[in-house]
Amino acid sequence: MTDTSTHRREPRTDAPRALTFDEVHVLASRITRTMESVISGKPDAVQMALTVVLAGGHLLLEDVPGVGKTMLARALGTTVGSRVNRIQFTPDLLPSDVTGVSVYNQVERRFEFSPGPIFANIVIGDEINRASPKTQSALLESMEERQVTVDGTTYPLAKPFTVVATQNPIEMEGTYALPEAQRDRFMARISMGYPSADAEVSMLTRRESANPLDTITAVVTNDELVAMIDAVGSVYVSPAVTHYAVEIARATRSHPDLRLGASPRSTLQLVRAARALAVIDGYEFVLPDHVDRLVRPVFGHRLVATSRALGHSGDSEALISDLLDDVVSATPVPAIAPARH
Amino acid sequence: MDEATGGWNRADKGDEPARGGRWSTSLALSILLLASLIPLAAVVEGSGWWITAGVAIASVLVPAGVVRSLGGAPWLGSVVGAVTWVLVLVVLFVPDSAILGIVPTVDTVAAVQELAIAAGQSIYVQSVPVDPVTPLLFLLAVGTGAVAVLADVLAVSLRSPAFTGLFALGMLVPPSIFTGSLDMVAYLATAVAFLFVLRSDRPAASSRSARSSSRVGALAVGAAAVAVTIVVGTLVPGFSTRSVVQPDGRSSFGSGVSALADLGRDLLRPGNTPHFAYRTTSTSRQYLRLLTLDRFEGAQWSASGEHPTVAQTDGERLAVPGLTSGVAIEEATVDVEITGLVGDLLPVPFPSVAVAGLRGEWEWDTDGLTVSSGSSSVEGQEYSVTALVIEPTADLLRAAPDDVPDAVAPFLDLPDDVPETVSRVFDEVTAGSATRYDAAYAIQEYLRTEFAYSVSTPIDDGYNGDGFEAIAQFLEARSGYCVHFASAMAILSRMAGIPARVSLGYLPGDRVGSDDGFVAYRVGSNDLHSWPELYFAGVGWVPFEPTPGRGSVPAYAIDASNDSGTDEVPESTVSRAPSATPTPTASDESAVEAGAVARDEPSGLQTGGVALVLLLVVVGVLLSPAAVRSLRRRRRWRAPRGATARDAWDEIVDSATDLGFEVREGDTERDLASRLRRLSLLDPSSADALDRVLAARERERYAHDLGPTADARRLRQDVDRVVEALAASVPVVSRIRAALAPASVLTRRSAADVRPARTG
Repeated sequence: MTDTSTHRREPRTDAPRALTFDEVHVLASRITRTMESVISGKPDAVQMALTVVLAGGHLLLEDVPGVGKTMLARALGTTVGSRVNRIQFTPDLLPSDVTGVSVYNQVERRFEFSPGPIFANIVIGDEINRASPKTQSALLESMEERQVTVDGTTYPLAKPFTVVATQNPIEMEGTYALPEAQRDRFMARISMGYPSADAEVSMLTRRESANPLDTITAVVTNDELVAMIDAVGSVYVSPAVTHYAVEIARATRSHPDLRLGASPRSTLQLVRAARALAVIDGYEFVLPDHVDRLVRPVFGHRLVATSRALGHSGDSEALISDLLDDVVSATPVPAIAPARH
Repeated sequence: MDEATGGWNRADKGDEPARGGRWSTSLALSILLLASLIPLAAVVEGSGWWITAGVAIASVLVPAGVVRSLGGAPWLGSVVGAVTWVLVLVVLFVPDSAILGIVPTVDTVAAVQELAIAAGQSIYVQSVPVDPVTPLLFLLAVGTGAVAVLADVLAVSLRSPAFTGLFALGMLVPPSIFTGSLDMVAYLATAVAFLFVLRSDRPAASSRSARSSSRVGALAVGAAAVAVTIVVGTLVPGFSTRSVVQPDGRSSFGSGVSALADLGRDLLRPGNTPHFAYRTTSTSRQYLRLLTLDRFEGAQWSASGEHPTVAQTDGERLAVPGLTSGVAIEEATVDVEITGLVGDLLPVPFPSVAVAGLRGEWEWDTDGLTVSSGSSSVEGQEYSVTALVIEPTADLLRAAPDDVPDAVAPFLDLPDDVPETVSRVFDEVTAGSATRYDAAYAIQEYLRTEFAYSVSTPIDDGYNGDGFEAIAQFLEARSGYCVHFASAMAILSRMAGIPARVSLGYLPGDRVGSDDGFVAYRVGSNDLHSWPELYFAGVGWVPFEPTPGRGSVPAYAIDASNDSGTDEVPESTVSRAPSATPTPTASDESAVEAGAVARDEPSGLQTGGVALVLLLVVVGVLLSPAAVRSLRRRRRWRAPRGATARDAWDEIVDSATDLGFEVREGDTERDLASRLRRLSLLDPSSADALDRVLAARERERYAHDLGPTADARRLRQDVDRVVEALAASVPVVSRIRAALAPASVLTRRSAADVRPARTG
């Protein structure tokens, strides 16, 4: 944007200051640059992770082991300078290991709440599919409600609150893949994919010397992150774009190859994510192209193909991905006048 | 359907409203076309032809509507409509030549040709109102069906209902030209039906786009209406090209009750259509006569028909009544070629003594020296006339004895009830005239100098006639055209005791060249004229010219050397163009066109003209997509508040479509921009221009506030640069196609942005 030069850093105060779109854009660029110095060759994944955080959603990273899912999640946590907790999910992890537990204080003779790792701004849930359904469910409930209730007392979670969960798609002994209904709680799901040869080489070189995470520090404060999220909420979405998002969602619902289409909640999340992406791109209004770019990450993990469409290939991911591309390219932006005078 | 992964999206977007809209469009179109046929009732007899026209229209629109309601593409409907129309034509008119009465064969073409020729003959033979014989009904069905097909394609397939107004206009106008009046009922009915057509398209196109498309339509209508008018004129019975292009000579003089009134009407008809061409050895400008009117009974002038006639034969010479040897005479040969005149009266100079080369039976009026026929037509005749050029002097006329031969006495007859005005004017004007010639001269000068030439005043003031009453008013108003001047002078002359009659014919016309001792002239409907002829003993009949600004005053009628001595009218007076009638000025050498001698003109002028008109129409139709495209472009840049980013962007999209770049319906602006950048390898500055237009368009469409308003001129520069770069990146063939057959014309214009529904 043109007037970035006029951007001033004011002395930080306790009350989060409202940020202009330009300031948000500048901060977002800084976060992106920092993360990309760690996660080389994955600009899309970095951008999508930041988008989800700024949209106040939760992110599901799904890929084979060893491609840097955890690294991405941790880089994100480090960069935003918020409180980051990491939970390694295992089959024997109990719900109270996530949410926290009331402990009897012998001295004061009363129960005290000992908060679990979920009480953080960014919670990294590694290998969420290894946890028992009961534990998964506890996590997902608190993701949705943004609060934890233990022994009848409700504790609100931190603000901002983003869960970055990683999942291993390969069916393994003792894993419980998230059911469709649970996946719906994640705003977006992305795959990391293998790095390019160059990126892999440079990663090897750098990893020789030190852990790259040690080389980066937070570039925004938690207050600034909250302000950024607040600013995202006021990005303008024109009626044309709103209708466009709805058209796309409706197209998935009536699609003959889909057993389950996009839910209204997913449409809501699509538009919310598009706002964040617009700001990251330096726009103060959402373009249909922002929606386009988010359709696959936001809708992909919520749709279920019919078994007939799946046929023998069984590759549901590829099918749905292609199908969403078709929907996006076939849906025109409705001709609706901007609601201005 | 499940396998058709490509089609699901469209199929599910609900075509229902549009489908309903198309049905109502078809209905409205039928009403529009039928309404525009109303004026035909004035020129076609009976009402049976309505059914034929209705069947032709229904044979197109009903199948088209059915196909579309069954889910067929709009264009498919038009194609099916056209096919059923042809089949219905075959079944109705030429079933014998077709297999099972419906499948056309080679014989069908021949049969159709026969029908067309028969129709042409029928048009030629019949006069208005025509009897709707089968060939004419065939023409009617062809014409209305063709118009229905075109209207259907325009209104439904191309979503441009406004253009159908053009066809309605094209069908409305020719009968109006022919009958000379506007049928207000028909116009209103058509206008209402047209509004329904526009309205029926509403579900798909908002009122705003309808308005804007009708604005484009209005421009195109103005340009093309004339062409369509002529085409329909040739297709629809009752309007042969003849009737549109030329006044029908037969209806003017052959059957008319009042020849002068008919002449006036022909003269007032707009446009100058060629009647005949001639070349003459005479150096003076000759009037050519069709008819003389010798009887005046108060209400009008008429031909008594009491004069002896002789059959015309080549080589036979007639005597000129009243002419004696004391008058200077020059003989001239005049070769005439009729190019457009119809009827049974032959234009010849006065006095003619012999005619050669005529086809058919013709006879001389030995007194008036006019040539006419009871059975033959002047059409296409080429003949040679031997004419005398009489050059009496004013002195000779003044010296003419006053006694009138018995044979000429009837030319003095006047009814008794001469209006008071006429007598008063007569007394005023002729007071002090010593001789009859002086009186004649005084009358001519009075009319020439005190009166104004006007074709509109007599009509406006209600004295457009040649009887006593009209002439009295004319003398009061002092304004009129040749009919009034000629009649007035003839009446006043008879009052002065000079035998007088009124001649109908032509001014000398336009000189178009000279060669070989001949001077060539071309004569058209605007040269129609009437003038008085006065009888002087010893000289015979001599013409006078009382009409100011028309024709030329004969030498003997100029020099009145007795008392007034006025000699202000120069000898070479040529016709000045009167205000209301565009009379071509017969200017001298400047009008000489090389090779434009009348003789050299092709005899098939009419056929050539029709072919030319048809060719122009075909070219016009072929170029109409380019015209529509260019109108759209102009409309965008000429928007009252300056071109918006939307206009600029639409122009880029249309240009890209024209140049053959892929433009998908589901494209966002950004999608298209990046595809264009990729496919055309835009240079950096053009790419920047594209980005600027893109940014302006996106901001306009998606942002909350417009920000700094895009500068219209800058936008246009950017668009021009982008379009130029795009064009440069495609082969020449694509560029030519983009110019001549722009594909964007066929794309549905995105309807104007709809206001969002108010939510919570």
